Amino acid sequence: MIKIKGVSKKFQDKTVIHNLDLHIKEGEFYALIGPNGAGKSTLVKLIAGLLQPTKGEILLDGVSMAEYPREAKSLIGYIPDEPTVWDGMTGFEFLNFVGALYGMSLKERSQYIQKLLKIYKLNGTEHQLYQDYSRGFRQKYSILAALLHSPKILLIDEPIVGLDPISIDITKNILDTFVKDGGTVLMVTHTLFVAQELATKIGIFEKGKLKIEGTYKELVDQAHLPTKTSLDDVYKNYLVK
Amino acid sequence: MSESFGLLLSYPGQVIKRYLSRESFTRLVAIFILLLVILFVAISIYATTIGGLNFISRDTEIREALYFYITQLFCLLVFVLSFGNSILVIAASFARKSHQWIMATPSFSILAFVNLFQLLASSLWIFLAVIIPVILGIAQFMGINGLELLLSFVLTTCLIIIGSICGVLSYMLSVYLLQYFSKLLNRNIVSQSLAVLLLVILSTLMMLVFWRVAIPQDFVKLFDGSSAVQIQTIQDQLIYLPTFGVAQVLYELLFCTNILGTSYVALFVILTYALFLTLYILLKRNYLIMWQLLQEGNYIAGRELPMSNKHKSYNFPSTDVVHNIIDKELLVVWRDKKNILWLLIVIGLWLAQTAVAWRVTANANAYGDGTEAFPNFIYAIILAIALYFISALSLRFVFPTFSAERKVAWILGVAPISLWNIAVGKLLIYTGIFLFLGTPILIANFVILGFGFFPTLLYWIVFSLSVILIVLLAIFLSVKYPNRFSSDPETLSTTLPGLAFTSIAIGGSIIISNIMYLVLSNVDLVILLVLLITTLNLLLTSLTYHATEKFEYAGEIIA
Repeated sequence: MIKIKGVSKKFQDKTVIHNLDLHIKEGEFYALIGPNGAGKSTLVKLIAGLLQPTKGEILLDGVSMAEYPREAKSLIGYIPDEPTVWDGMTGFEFLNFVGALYGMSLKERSQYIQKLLKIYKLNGTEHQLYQDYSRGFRQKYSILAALLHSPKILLIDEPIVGLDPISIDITKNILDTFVKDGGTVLMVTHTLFVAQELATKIGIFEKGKLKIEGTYKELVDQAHLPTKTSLDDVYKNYLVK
Repeated sequence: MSESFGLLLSYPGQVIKRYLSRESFTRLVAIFILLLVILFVAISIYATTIGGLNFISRDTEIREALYFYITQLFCLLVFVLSFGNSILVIAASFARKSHQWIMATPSFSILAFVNLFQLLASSLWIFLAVIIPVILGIAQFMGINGLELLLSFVLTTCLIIIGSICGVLSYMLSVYLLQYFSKLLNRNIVSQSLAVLLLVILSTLMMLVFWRVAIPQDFVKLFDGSSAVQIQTIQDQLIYLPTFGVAQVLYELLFCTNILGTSYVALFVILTYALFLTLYILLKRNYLIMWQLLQEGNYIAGRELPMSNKHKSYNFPSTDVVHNIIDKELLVVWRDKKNILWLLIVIGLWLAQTAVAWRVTANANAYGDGTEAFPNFIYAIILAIALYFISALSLRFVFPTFSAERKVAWILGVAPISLWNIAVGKLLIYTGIFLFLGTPILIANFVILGFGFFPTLLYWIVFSLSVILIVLLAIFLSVKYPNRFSSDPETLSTTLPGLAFTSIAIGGSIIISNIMYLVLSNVDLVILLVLLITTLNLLLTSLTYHATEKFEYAGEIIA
């Protein structure tokens, strides 16, 4: 579903992604973990079409992001690390605006937005201005916006920052259901317990390169660690190496 | 404390140093070109000043009084510009969330000084673009000596500082008034929006008073009798203006070469210093409280939001991208009180200029002179003024458009739409708004000044194409040189591309107006000018299109 072929990204004279090859299959939940500044967010932004690769190709469901950006982008739902929206918009307006950008009709949007608002019990907050929302509310609205047009791929940069424990559970359920329904997820995170719980494949990213990838079990086995070692310890073990 | 002072103040220097450390040659060339453009604008204002004085000097009956009157209006203009500029800077400073980390340290009060410094630095454009060329023009025309020239600059600098201080004090006053009413109502009503609204009301009242005092009912009566009588009449009329004293001394220095003004200049310097010190002490004591009061809206966590905060949401009925971008721009601009304040200030100034034209024409008609007495270049000046206001609006609304959206860029960037569509949406909405607001005011000016239908039509065509040109230039620079560090329109307008836009837009407006004045009698040449502007529009459209293809809509510098 997501194919990255020899992708490099340079910012001025600094190379952030080095000749990366990555393949994420349909229905896979791929968690990318790594230290700060490793280039994880840059990679997600490259796949989302927010940045252009210096070299290489990105294919989403066989569609090239460079050649057919509109077709490729219509497959994606993106949840950013910082859910900033225009302060002067209400949550309802934001969802409607995003739906309209994806070509959804007003009728289609109206029905689906009401359905989505119920997930986080946001009904009653949707006509407040964004500037009045807390960090958690903003995060919830950006998650709903990503789901609005029923994408095939979800690209997530830190999904649960600012969320309360109940909302974290709801978010985990949303992502779980999305994958069970055939969707593909690429999630970048430092919250390793979520990755351990949900991901079908985990990649450890460091200095713009994929250091190792595999299922949680494969990572534990390859590191010769006890079976019940937490992903937290597995991660530290690989980075020390 | 002193170390943090130094660190904060050395920041602009470090930014320049860093800017020049890469691609030094290209960037030096860019700065050189920019300086040339600024110089060109300054020379244009300088030449206009000398031309205007030459014109006035031909009328020996009223010239002395007119010099005095113009000096009074000039000082009033500088005061109003400084006042408005300071309100915008100080309001932005209290809204700045990035100051959180400084406000949380024991050194928070240094921001009072840093803000005063920023305030004065941001007023520099008034000194460079208005004061220097005008005063140098008068100095050249009147042949005054170096000392008088120096004193004139000192005096006008004091005027800028006093205007800025008054602006900051008004803003603080409006916040404290809101706090007072909050206590009375037993409910917190202090917010940026309400403070700005209160300031709009205060400023409108102030402008009405200024208008009532500075623009007399009957201009002919103002210039009745001998020069001494005329000046006395004007003095009696304008004595209530806050700038009256400064203008009186400036007039003495520039037009009477009266060195006696020196002692008054010293007096104004002391007064300015005392006011500045008072403001500094006030700000230092109250900065934290003010900042806290105006930040409260940003910290609503978890609680149920009050029903009174509910807005009527717009549902973006169309599925057309350009249509939605237009709707979004309108919604966001409308909901930002600072934007509306800006729009009202600029349109208010433009209407004030129109009212002056109306008053002068009414006077000329009342005394049987008619509009035939007006020289032809008046119409070109009206066009230049119109394009100046459009440039000011574009600098605030259009030029920052892509940079200001850097933090929300992900919404548009990941959507299956082309950046070109976004640029087209922005071009259409801003051109539409500016033409909608500008056309009636421009035509009203021409009708008031008795301009014929056909020349008015030609001027309107040139105006409309120039509006497109200015908006396109702003969009092109915004896409080509996006700023990845700031979303603040005031900060963005002082960056190199921002200054380039200001200079090119104002310089271009003066050139277009001047060409219109020179070629108006020959329709073929007007058509040539129209073709030239259209070609420039097409060229800029093509450049913008190519720039959008290379644009990375990713917000901030990553990793």
